Amino acid sequence: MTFDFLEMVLFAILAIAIVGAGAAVVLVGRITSAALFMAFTFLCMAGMFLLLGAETIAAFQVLIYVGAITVLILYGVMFTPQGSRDYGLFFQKQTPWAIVFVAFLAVPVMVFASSFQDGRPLARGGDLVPLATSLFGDFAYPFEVASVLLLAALVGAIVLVKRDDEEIR
Amino acid sequence: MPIGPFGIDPGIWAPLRLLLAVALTLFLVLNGALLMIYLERKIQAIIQDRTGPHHVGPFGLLQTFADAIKLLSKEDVRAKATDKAFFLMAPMIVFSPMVASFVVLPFAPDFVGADLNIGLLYLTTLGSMAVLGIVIAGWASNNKYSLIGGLRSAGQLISYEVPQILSLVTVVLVVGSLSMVDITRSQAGPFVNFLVLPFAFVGYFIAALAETNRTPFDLPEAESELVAGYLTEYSGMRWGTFLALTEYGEVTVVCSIMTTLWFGGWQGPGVDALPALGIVWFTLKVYVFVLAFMWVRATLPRMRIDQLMDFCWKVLIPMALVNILATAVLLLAFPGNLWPIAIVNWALVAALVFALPALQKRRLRTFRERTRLSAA
Amino acid sequence: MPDYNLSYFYVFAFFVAAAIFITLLLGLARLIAPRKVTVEKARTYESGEEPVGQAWSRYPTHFYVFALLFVVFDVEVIFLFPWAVLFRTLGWYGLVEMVIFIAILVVGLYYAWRKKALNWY
Repeated sequence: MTFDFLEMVLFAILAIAIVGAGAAVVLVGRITSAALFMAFTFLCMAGMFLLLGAETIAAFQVLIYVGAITVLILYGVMFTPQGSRDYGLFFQKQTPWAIVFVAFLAVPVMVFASSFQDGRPLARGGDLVPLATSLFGDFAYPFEVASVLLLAALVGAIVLVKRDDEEIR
Repeated sequence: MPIGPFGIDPGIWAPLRLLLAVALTLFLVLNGALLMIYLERKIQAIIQDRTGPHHVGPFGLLQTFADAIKLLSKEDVRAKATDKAFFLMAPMIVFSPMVASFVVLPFAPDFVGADLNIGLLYLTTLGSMAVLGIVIAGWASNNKYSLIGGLRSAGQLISYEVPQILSLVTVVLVVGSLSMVDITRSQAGPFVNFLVLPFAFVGYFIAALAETNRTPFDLPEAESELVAGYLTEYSGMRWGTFLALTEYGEVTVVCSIMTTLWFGGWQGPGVDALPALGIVWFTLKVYVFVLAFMWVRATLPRMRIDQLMDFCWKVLIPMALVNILATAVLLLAFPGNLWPIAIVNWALVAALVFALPALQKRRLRTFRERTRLSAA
Repeated sequence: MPDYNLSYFYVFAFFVAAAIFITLLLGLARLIAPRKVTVEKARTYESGEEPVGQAWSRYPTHFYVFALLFVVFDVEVIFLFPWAVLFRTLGWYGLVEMVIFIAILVVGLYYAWRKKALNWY
């Protein structure tokens, strides 16, 4: 069993898992289950990164998304009432419009995706050094802007929480 | 592919090695837990001037076996209101990352499960996955105590992950690689990283105590607090998995990280001649730290949740950041010379040990005077 | 260079082995342990009192502040890892970039401190 064949099998499994878990996030009745399916989607995406040979990005994905963001979402979600939502997502009034819109978008997306060419294959597993060089070299400015973005998120959350607390009192 | 060791055909050796690695890890985790529970009870007993277990087997050595059999035979009482799927999933989410950590730990030269390029990053990633299991356990029990306990414990764990990772990054600055084997090999002879980066070690030690829920940070496990926190509704072997296996396994992993990063891992006299001796040195060093953990547990009182959060965010994280920046600047200013870094680090340790209590005492005194003046 | 595919297969195998181990252990417990379900045992534990109300009523929001602070510092740490590995190659330029980055986030920490968002209650 060569690795190319195995890679295709793994890709197929991961792709089905990602799409399935993503659909489950939207369709599942309880919101905490949805949050956990979201964490599972993140894990499968990390698996995709591993398949591509980007181990650092896969580790970052798990560390941030599964470790931090899922906990954040769970903290937020656990304070909400846990009743079962009804399956109002199919057979609503907007469904025909949605189908038309998706079909309209699908054509340019398919044309665009089939125009991708195979790039130069990189060595598997050696992605930390190129990542660091490009991040701190070419992308230094977006990197600093990212920190300002994080600061804005932090300040915004603190302001909202403090205002909430004062309203309670 | 070269001929495998003992002349076995490499086609057979590859899966055999995997099987051996898995079996060895599970064996280590299981017996390590048994051994450490016994050690913990004996050491606490000695420090508290009593005997500890001594009925079952010579010196009470079989006590933990008896406890394990007892736990296995306890009924799995499950409250009806618990969320079945999540309740059952939580121990697995907490246990699996801990076992997977053993893949990168270097026990001896060429005796690593798999030397990942990003070994250290991989270990921190696994540490953060365990938090999810605890949140789920607290929530799924559908019990007010469990929920608050789970959220508090998760808050403690995620807060102390930051100084933990900051300390690790300091070592990476000096070593220049994330691979655990590289870090071990970079500490030649007696010049281990501890002499250069003691503050990073102290910071990591404290953060590791908090990450493994050990005293003085064992609020989630305290009997007098919130019953047993997120563990309240778990009984029998499920509880055993959480508490005994996972916690002591995590203690082993964390102590292994400490020996690899700061104390040279498997290195010691005689390793060049006989590589298998590395296992002995590694295990000895790991157990020194495990005993240190137990010593701390028997000595220190428990911290309150707000004290521990304050300590993390207001003391450890700023000092760890200062440490990183100072190390970076000094590494660039004096390339190849590790003395300035060592001086700064030891100064930070001195600040933590001496200056911080003095500062707190002065704050307490002014606070008391102010209240006395306002009451008068 | 160790083999990439094999290394991650080890990781996957360890996870699977841990899951199998736990299942076997709990299966063993299920075989040995008694199972007598009574109404009393199926009640939620509340120190002997009867449980009142649902477990999730309104809770304080400070948990969320700490989680968000953790997300922010986690992302910072993620940028620290590649910087630390390539530290000597990036030189003073990289150091200045990282100092600016950390300084901006420290401002956020200081803001949280002054606004008393770091107090547990």
